[in-house]
Amino acid sequence: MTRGGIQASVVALVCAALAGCRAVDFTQQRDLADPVMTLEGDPLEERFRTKATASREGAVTVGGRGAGGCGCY
Amino acid sequence: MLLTRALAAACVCLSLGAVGGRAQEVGPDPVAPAPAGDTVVGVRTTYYEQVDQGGRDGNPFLREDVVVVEPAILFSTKLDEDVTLSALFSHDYVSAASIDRLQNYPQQSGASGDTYFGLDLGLDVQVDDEVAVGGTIHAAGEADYASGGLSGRVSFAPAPATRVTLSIDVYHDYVRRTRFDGTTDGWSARDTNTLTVWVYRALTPWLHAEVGYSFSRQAGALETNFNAVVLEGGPPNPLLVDQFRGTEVEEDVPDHRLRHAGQVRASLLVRRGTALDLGLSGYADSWGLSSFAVEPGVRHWLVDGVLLVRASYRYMRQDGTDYSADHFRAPPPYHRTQDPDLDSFDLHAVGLKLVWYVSPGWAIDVAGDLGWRSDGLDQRWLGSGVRWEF
Repeated sequence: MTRGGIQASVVALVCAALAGCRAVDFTQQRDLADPVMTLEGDPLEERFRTKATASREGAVTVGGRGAGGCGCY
Repeated sequence: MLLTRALAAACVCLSLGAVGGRAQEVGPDPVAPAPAGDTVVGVRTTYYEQVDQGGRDGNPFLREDVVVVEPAILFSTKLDEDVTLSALFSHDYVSAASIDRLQNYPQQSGASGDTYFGLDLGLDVQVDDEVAVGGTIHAAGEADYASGGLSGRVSFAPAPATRVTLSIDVYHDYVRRTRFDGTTDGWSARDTNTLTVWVYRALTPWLHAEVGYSFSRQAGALETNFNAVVLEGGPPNPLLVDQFRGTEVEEDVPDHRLRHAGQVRASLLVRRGTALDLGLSGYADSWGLSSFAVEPGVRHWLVDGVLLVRASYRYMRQDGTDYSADHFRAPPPYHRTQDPDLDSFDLHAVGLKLVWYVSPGWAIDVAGDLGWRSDGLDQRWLGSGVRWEF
């Protein structure tokens, strides 16, 4: 990644963080607990998806162990 | 470049979401089944299939059909209010054309399948209201692969409605180098070290998101067993598709790889019982491979608190490694691969998942995915799981 790319990425991250700069009170977070709002799926299903990505694509996912320990196919 | 685009797009999406959320009213209590206990048992089986039409898709000289059946079991229980123990057991049975071809060589014993077993044991401790720590021991093995690993993680809340998680994964694996013709070179080490950071934030009462980044360093024997590169020319080869005129040689890739992965996930409640989600990911590594993926989806309660559906679409674009090529001639380059999974392609995939909350503590789901690759190696999988809380 070039220096310009790194700088743009940092700006993007800061921008994303500031987009919700006013903290959401704990009492207002009940809708976020609804299963329709989940950001992560079932752990067994996510594990399969991560392994399938590492096996069938050249990339690895964030948090996907970097393809270590993979009985890949 | 691709990673930069992904992060920039995430910034735009999150900014728009922060503005648009103010138009919604706060609805009644969310539609969510009540938690039933401190112990969770999950069982899942997934069937996966990759189809190589007549052997001409992907690498056109070699058949690349693959079928995988993967059952897995998850167990998690609270030892006390602050301590959680978890265990995950998984098994793969792989039937692949690359393995079947080994029967054509006198050196190979004739095995037509590959069996994998893996076990993860984890412990997580809630230190106080804001800090949690945890660790996991990993072990896995199959006929030509043995793996041992350790993971450590810490999670803390630096601000309201915000959580940061740092984790380290260290794997020391051994691979029995097996060529396309079944001959072996003995066992070689493969080390993988990964550092991951996730930042979660509730942006509005109806929008939350998380951003993650992983850096991995791999070293050792990084070739894929059974892979081959076909040098074109010479007499017809009965072991190749359509008896192509070519000679197989082994794949050779660098013994060192640095990998960067970035991801953003966000979910926006558009009305009570319906949410839109968006995933963006980018990847780049020292082998010259890069990719970008976007995955929008929608979740909706078909029957409030009972039946939930998620539909998704994923587009992925991958640019192949510096060592990938469709055609090779003698003499081959020092580093070479004809693995279609390391080459350039586009992927379009659609997914559907149904979750049935049978009763408090019981849930059954069915999920499937169809994927179409530009190199013809289409894939499909179907899985079903049961989750029991007590």
